[in-house]
Amino acid sequence: MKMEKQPDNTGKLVLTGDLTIQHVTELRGVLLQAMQEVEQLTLDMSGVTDIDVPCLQLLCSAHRTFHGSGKKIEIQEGGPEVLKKTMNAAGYSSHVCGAGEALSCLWKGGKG
Amino acid sequence: MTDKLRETYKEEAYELLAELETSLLELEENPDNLELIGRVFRAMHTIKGSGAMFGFDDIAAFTHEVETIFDLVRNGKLNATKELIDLTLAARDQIRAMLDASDGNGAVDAAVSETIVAGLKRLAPTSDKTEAQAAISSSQKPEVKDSNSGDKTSEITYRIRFRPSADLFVNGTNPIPLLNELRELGSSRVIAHTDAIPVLEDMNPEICSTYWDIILTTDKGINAIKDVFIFVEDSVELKIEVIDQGWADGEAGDYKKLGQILTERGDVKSEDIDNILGRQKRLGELLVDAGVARPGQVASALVEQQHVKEIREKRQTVEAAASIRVPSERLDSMVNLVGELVTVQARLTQAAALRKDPELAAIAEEVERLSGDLRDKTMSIRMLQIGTTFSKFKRLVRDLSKELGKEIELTTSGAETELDKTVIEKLNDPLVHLIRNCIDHGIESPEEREKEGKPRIGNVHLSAVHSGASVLIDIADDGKGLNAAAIRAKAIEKGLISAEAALTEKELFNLILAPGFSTAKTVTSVSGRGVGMDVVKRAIDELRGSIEISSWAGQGSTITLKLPLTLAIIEGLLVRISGNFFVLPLSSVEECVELTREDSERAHGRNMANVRGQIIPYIRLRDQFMIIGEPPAIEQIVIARVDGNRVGFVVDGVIGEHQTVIKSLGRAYRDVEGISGATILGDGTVALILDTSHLVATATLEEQTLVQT
Repeated sequence: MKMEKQPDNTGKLVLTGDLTIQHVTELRGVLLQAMQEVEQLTLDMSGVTDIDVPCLQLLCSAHRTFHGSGKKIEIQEGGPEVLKKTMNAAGYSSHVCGAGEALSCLWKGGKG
Repeated sequence: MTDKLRETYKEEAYELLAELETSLLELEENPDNLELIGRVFRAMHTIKGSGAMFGFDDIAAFTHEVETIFDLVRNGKLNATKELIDLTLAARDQIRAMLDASDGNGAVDAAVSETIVAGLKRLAPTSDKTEAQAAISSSQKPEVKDSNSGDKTSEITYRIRFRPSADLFVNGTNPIPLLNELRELGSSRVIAHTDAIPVLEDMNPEICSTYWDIILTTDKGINAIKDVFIFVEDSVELKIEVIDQGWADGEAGDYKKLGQILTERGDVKSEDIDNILGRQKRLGELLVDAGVARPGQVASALVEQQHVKEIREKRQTVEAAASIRVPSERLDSMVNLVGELVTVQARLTQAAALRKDPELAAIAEEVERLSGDLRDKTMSIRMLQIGTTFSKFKRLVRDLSKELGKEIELTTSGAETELDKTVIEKLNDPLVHLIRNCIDHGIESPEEREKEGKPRIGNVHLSAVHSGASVLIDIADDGKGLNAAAIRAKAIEKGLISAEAALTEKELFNLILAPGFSTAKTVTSVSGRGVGMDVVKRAIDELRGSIEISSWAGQGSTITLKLPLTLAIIEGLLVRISGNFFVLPLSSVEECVELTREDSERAHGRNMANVRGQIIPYIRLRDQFMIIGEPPAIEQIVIARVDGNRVGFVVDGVIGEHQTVIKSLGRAYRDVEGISGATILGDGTVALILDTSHLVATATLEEQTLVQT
């Protein structure tokens, strides 16, 4: 898990494999670091094979944090099927973003 | 009493068999559709169950065998293969034969039943190989189960707030399976609340900071819900409340106001709501703006509102859809009575007009309005969707194309178009004939089609659509089209036209409707048995309909049937000749023009009128019906469209529109030509209803013999 930093202060984080509770602590670290380094972060989740509720929570939190400091975070289009499936199963597809209505929810892109 | 019950059972069984057939044919196209498999299973299950109850033991026993096999399909242990569907269709026919035979009409061949059962049993042992099938979307299965579990009224809707303790994840519990278990209990909505999730800096990602609202409609009871959480009881805060009892309580379709839901849940204080309501903005926004509720809570409450609204509406439509069975004779006699009523009402209106009594006139008007409504309602009861007939043809096309080695699919549109019950019943035979023609003569063999660069699979399309007071039914195929040259040669051979006759393509095509006309060189079992299109023509004529044929060589042909919506009452144009009244169907009338004596003299005895430069042939009804007396100086020509041509009918005078309740003329007058029925006018006199196409045909024939002599 490593972010590629572009010269224009944007970053891209490629996430692959199982995104489960075993990896949340590491992911949180990477996201926190990204917060420090870039203005805009794109998550490429197309290689993700599994995701669970702790990770959904964490991404929600990242979204809130980025927005809180005027930065952007988004999921690259074409998120994996498993993301949509888990979001539906966990009721995340019909949640309302705690970041407030004015902000676009992180998941709307991945929801499709 | 038992007999009556048996009758009811049989009636129901016939309907179930029709449903079974449709479902099987659909299943053949989508063999994985669990909903369809469920439908097939349920139909068979009902036939079996009530069959045993009313003493149809043979049917019950036989159906049981078939049902057993389908149970395997339902459980995913057996694939719905073509072979299985073939056998099940054969079984369906066998059940039907048993039903028919239960009256004592003929016997059922028990050997056939045995062959079918043996065939089905042979399919069964392969189940092990297809175990994988069992895995197909297990998430869809509960739906099938749901619609099967009968009593809908005992369904209760719960609101479940599921707030796990922080250490849920650390304890190794995944909340998703729990949510899925709840979903399996019934129709549900799951909303995750994320508002308690902190920012990254403060976040311990292994702590659960999400909680859920689940709105669940189930008939399994509250204990089933509690059971889902039984293993996580200690680390979960659970609040379950009943929000809908499952029966309609007065304000059905309507559910609690948003504010009420939020206060009930303890998310918002009712004082806050009252305060905010005063500002008259959308409550949800206001609550969020005011900071008393978080957006997630409002959204969740709105979802609950929506969910309950939907299930209540659904329940209402289920209740509304409840219907009663009425024997069709009772309906027929009701239509007759309404017909009489309309007639009497016309008399009343006429009498009231003569009396010049305003009070009576008012009453007559009211009666007119009511009887008009009653007439429309009665007619609409008799209306049936044509789709039931369409689905019957699926089987016909399937079997015939197999027999002839062709690959043909039947597509339909406008199945929801409504037509009078009698019309639909009488339409069956002509449609069978036309579809057979398409399959036999129209569509080529797969090899021929490929050579022509067409897809292997031919298409027959049936469509129905409303057009004014008529319904248009199209039977279209993408086959080779009508062979104009062959029709011409055949017509000359049969002496229908002379060798040098110049005919338009349309006229040529219409020749195939003539009696005894068939161009098929080989007689097949399907068509070409000498009963040609004339049978169709006659049947459609009886229904007061018309046929139009279009064809494009190599691209296919379309046959359009134009049928009246109903046979019992038509809009007519009332006309008069001396003291006699006649009615022309208003749907075919185009205009009325005057015919002066000078005009007819100018035509030198030919029955032709010049209407705005167009020559219109006309028929003098006075001559046709041999009515004695001198015509008035100015007569009227009613110009109508008959079989695609404009033809005039000369009468003494046009009276006006008339709601015509059609009465048949009875046996004695059955052979009278040019008259299709009668109606009773307001003053009690009888008016005859003209059969325009017959009149034109007779006149044409007379004209031809006149020319020849």
